[in-house]
Amino acid sequence: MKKEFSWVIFTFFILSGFTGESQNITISGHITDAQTGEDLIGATIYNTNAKTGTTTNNYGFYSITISTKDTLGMVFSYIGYAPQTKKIAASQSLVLNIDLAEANNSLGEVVVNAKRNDNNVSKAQVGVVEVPLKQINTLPAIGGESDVLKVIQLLPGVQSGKEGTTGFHVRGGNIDQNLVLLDEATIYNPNHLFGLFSTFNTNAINHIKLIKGGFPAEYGGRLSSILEITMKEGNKNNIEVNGGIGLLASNLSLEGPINKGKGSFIVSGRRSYIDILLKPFIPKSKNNTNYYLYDYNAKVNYSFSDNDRVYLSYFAGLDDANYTGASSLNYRINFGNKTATLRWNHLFNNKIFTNTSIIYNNYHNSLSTAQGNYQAQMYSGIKDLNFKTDWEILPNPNHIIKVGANFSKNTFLPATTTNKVVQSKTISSLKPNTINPTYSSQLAFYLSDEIKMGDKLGINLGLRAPIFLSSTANYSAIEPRVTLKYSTGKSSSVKLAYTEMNQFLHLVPSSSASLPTDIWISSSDIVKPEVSRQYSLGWFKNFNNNAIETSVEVYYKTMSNQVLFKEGTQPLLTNVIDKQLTFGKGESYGIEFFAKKNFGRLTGWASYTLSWANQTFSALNYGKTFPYTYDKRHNISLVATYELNNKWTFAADWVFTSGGAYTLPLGKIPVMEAGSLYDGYYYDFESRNNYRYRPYHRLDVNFIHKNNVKRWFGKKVESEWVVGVYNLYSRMNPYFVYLTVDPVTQIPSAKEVSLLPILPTLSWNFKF
Amino acid sequence: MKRIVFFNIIALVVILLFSCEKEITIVQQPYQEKPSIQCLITPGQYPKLYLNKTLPFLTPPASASEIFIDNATATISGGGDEILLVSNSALDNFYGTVSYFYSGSTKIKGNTKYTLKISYNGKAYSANTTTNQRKVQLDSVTYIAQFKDIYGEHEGVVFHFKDKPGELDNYRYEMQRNVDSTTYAINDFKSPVLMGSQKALVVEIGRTMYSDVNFDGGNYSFVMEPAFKHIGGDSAYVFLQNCDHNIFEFYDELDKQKLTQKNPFVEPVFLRTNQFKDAIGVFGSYALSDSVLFIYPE
Repeated sequence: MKKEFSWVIFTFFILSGFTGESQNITISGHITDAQTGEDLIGATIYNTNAKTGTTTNNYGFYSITISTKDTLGMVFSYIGYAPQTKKIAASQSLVLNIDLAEANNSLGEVVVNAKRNDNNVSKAQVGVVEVPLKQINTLPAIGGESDVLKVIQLLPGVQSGKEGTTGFHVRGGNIDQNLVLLDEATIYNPNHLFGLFSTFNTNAINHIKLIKGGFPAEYGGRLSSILEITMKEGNKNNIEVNGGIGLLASNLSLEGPINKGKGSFIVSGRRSYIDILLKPFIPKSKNNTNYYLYDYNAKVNYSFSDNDRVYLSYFAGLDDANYTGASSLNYRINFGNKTATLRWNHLFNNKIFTNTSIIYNNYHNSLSTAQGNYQAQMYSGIKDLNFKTDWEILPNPNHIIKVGANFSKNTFLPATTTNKVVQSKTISSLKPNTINPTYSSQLAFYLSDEIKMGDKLGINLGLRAPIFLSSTANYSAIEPRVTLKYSTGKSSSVKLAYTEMNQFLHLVPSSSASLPTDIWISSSDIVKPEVSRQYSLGWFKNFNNNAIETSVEVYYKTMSNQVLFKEGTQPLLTNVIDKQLTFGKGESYGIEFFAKKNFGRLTGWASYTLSWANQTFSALNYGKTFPYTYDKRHNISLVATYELNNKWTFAADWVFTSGGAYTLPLGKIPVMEAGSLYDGYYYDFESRNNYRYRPYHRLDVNFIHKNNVKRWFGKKVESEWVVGVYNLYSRMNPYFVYLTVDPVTQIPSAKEVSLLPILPTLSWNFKF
Repeated sequence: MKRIVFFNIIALVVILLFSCEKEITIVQQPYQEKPSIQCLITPGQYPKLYLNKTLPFLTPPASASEIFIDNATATISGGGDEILLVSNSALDNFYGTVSYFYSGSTKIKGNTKYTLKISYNGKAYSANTTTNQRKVQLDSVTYIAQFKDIYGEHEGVVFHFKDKPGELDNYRYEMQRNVDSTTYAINDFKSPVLMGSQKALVVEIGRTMYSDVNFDGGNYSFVMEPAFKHIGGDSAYVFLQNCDHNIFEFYDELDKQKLTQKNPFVEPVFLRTNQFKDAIGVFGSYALSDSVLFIYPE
């Protein structure tokens, strides 16, 4: 009965969106960068008469329906761009495309009369952070490479994984619970090795958005977060070359118009050259040590008419590393993503926008380690083919209706094995064609309506219905999504959100083993879908005409059907991994404080998160609750960019996190009643993740010097030097700990491996 | 200038890749020592109890006498017998080490329920087992020069026998062999005490337990890796133990844990105190097959 009532209410709200008023007109169009023609995602459109507004979607499209007046006041704005004010005398709907020019620099930006973006307060959304690319480009990063994920990890509620592992944790969720999308294609591993770089080349990126709670209905398939990254489309006006030469890698991008701006293209690539530089210097004992990475992006788009536009984008990234360390520890990793996305935007009219996509991706991760005479190997591969269609309907200013469907087919190739090292001492890799694949499909439908109910109240109602199909099991679910916003003043609001999410793809992590051993698998008759229920409550307040945003958010999340390997699992090639798993539940809760300054010479943010994340498995840890490895109590991030003058910019970030958890035995047990192969000491474990790594902290600084504009071959050339230091005070942060026994004293001891000491960086970036 | 930059780059990368491992001090968390109990009985033999104490993990290894609990009271009762176990010791003639244990002077009977009772430090530990395991008939024993299993590639002695349908059996091998001063253990250990043609009896017990849960009534052939090296013509007596569930559970956990100690990718295996509260160990019974004489062919 309750469910039926909910449906009636929901349908009422949706239908009410279509009760348009005859005296309204609709203004629609695209907002683009004046210099490059690049779409501006999330730009604000504000009607000063009705004091109402909207934002551009992921394709820079907007549509706003308002009552006709003699003169309409419209303000178009975007962070880092000079706002435009338009006076419009129109009695009929019209298309209004706007080009916004970049503000020369923030020094020159004075407070404008126009209203600045206050989406964080005014929209019925919670847990959403949009990070300006400009800010990312100024912050310090290893090798001088701007890095999306390094900045994402500095946001409240987001914790970095261990250096060398794949990604980040959001509100107590494992890394597989983040859906990382690059032009709608899933990126299963968004990092390059050691977290040195993210796999995203900022020269090829247009926009970044992180959602960690209050998920809109168009997103699904993961429990904890959505990181949506949109690639640049390419300069529609001129041929442009961007590049950067860094210590560890260099990148180059070429972009330009097609057919007089009807389309555009961008091709971008990056490769490291550590392998080439190091080769002559590596001692013979470590001659297997080697490392390289690359990533390539390409995208082309073309408008066939005012209402039809097609995009084709491609991405490939790879890491390959060998490490020969002390104690005869050998370590080899090879992983990479490849994606391709074909999209078609179609405008049925100025109130209905659609996007239809076909997406392919292919991910693999191969990991081997050898110590002494033993070698352990792991392979995890996944291939997706995805079809989706999304419809955005904007009937009147009070409703934004979204409806869509998504179908994807997944192929999995998971395996691990252990064996003796062959005499040549070389570490082999598992061959994908020797692994038995498993298949599954997912279908999802969604419907949502973002409703304004007067000046104070806003609500975003959504439903998503995912269906999972495999040879062993089918599952379906209804996921309600509700976000309520109540304005408590001109610049403050309180928001409450409840979301349910289902996840059918699982990364089986090691809960306590010290090396990254993650394997992707699909749901099955044994592996039930993971389900999360998240409640979040936030207070949002902006100061100084939205120049300073602050928020406090609390969240509580439950996660069921969590997956881990059974104790001692040795899943061989012939094993069915499902049967090696054990299932439990997780719980996380915390409070996040965030203050962000968007304008002025000094920009940046400060965040503090206090959080807990625990899990319970009946078959593990004697059935007692134990912390996740990434349960880190305190998390502080300070990020600042300061423009000293027109030439110099200084940026710094400092991060502190409490140590994560790992497992060590507390006792040792003598066993005598056995043969020679048995005798000896065994470990007495009392609880999982009972030890804590030392806290992690790090300070990075960057100086950016803009050179005078020069002319080469008649072309204007802009360039800048970026000089920085990663880990300024050379904190040797823990990566993992392993046990060893002193060969003389026979006393057990622990060795801690740290990855990155102080690391000066230098790069030269250019654009012409 | 270019050269300076180049060498700076190299230095940087070398730092990145090579200065990243160090020994750390880990503080031993509070750990309550507990008894480690192993007592396996089989009909026709005298009972023997290994009773030691566990140690905090981050301590130096202790000698056999240091970890031996010599002040406990232990009895095995069953079939009308009350067998007092008294502390004892024996010299291992191959390794030259002394082992400490408790032993009884009454032989164990078949088809009898036994109770082990230990009293130590004001605490009582108790467990039961029944000596009702079936004696297995070994059909044949063969040899394979090289085989590959989860432990790697090695030689093996192959046991062939038929499992009896309809009953739960847990198997592991046992080999008894006289070795001399020229014999090496597989870890290349050579006896420090055997001289010339002196011989010592060594008993090897397989570390893998085989359960017939998914193979009830089948023809078994399993391979065991000998713990001592040999030359062609060396002889040994091989047996098959048919163990109760207590033995299976305990030694299977040990086996799995041993593997995790070699593989950082595997979840650690916790040893459960299945039979004893506040102690780790096993009190179990097994039936030993008749011996088969095995001669190494090469």
